[in-house]
Amino acid sequence: MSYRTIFNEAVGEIPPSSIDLDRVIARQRRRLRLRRLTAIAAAAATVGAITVGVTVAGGHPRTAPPVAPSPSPTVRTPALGQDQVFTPTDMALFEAMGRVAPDLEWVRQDGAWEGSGVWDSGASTRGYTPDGYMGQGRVRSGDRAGYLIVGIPLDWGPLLPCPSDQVKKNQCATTTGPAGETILTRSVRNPDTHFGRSPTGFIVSHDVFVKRPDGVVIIVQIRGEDEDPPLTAPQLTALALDPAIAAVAADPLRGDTRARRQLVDSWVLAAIQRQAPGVTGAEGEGPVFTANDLGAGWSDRGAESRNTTDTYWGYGRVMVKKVAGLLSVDIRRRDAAPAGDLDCGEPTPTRACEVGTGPRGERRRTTTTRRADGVAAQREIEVRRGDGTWLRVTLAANVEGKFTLTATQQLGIALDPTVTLPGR
Amino acid sequence: MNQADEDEYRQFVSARLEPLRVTAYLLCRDWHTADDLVSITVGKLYRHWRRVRAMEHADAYVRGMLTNAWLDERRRPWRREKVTDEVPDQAEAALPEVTLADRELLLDLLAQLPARRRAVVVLRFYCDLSVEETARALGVSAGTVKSQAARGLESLRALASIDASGEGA
Repeated sequence: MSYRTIFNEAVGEIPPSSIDLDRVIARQRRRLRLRRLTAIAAAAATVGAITVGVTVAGGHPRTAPPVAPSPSPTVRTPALGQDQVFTPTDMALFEAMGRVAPDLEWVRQDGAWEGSGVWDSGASTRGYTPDGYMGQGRVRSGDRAGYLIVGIPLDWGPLLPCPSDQVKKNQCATTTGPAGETILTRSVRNPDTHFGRSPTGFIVSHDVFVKRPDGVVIIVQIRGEDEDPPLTAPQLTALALDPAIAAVAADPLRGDTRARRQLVDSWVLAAIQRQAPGVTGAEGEGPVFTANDLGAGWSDRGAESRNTTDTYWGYGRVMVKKVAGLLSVDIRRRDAAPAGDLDCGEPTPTRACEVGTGPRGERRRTTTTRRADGVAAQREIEVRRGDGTWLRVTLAANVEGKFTLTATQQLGIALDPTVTLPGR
Repeated sequence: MNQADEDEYRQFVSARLEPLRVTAYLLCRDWHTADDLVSITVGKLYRHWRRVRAMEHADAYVRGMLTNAWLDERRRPWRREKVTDEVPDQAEAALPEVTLADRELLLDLLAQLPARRRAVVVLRFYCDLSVEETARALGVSAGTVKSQAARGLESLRALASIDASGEGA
């Protein structure tokens, strides 16, 4: 009898699987899409400097006036994807669309899984730092279809002027909005290399960049599936200037709990890198597929509920000079922090403890746990700050008892003032 | 990933879902955790499908991914087994060999092996990976796999003996 047979007999009856392959795929698609959205945002940054279009269809952009705002538009909310939650910025956009283009319909992408969302949105990122809101979805008006992309970056430089050759061809224009906004409108015609649906082999896209006097920038783009996009440039302008969008644009990630966690992630990762330059992620020995950067393996997977307005939790395997270890960071606001004075209590043979005071008067406690054979297993550093915020940085040793970070480096992370929770 | 790639991915995963679940169960002894581990693994596989499908030993590689997902999972603070509770290595103990009459006992004994040794035993003797494939999957040398596999089997026999005599933990 082979070992395999013995194992199979030992396992016995196999219970029904709880693995939902469709859901796994949907989650991975969403992850890949958000990465692509970030790339689109980066590409959009150079929009004023690159001439890609040949001519606008007929050289005459649509001149239909924007639909006049109405106080109670018909709001068409796209179907939610599995596990999707719309943020206030998403809802503001849907409301604005109801005013600007009431006949516009949301359309699921061809071949998309039924659990996927129609409007795919979230925080765009630069590296692992959220740098704005980004959303995209397929829309249709009658027989005209295209992809709507909306971006509201958190920090955007000045709008670049239209290139002179595009101005001459009526492809790009800069105007001033009713409240002093700078509005750059661009229309281009490109070969249909993406959709493959245009009967002429070309598609037309409109881009609108609105920069408000307070510095907020709103980017709206429609990419037609042929030379007749479902939204006009004036409609895009009206969308960007709509009061519903104006109300959320200054803080476009408000209400997005995932973006909030990503923001703290970026602060934590930066602090780790400051303490240990050259630190990388470590997905474990054996198969490693991707460039093992620090952020790739940092997550809250398995404990998502520990991330709230008043608490943060993130962890990942990190590696310095071929020594890997599991590092986790826990932050809680005063109200959600555990009580206690961070004392050491009675010493034990397997637990060493030290307390002290940080440079800003923080109370700190370092606890190192060892196995019965004396090999170090885990180092935990807790800090209570003056404002009551409590942090815990925990590092597990490798099998040989080596720590990835020194106690000083680990304490440096715990005491770093940039490692904190954003305001409520 | 285009539709053809995705179809191929689905076919690959669907055909291997049950063996992967059993492998995960042998590692972690909990069907819920096993399904979590397989979900994590096939999620990673989706992201890297084009690269993995081109590999000569894709099956071995995927089992390596699964094993590493388990090793990572058990290192998490809320799931970490207390290190002081780990059964000491008893491979060197001169204990009489016994037959594993009760198959159920095998799983209990397997669960008592240190994690990496358990991984080697499962990959070598359940997944039928070669020494070299197991070594690649776990990122260790072939010699380490050979010694860990031998010590793993010895440990199983030793632990069975202790349990049988009532002296064990």
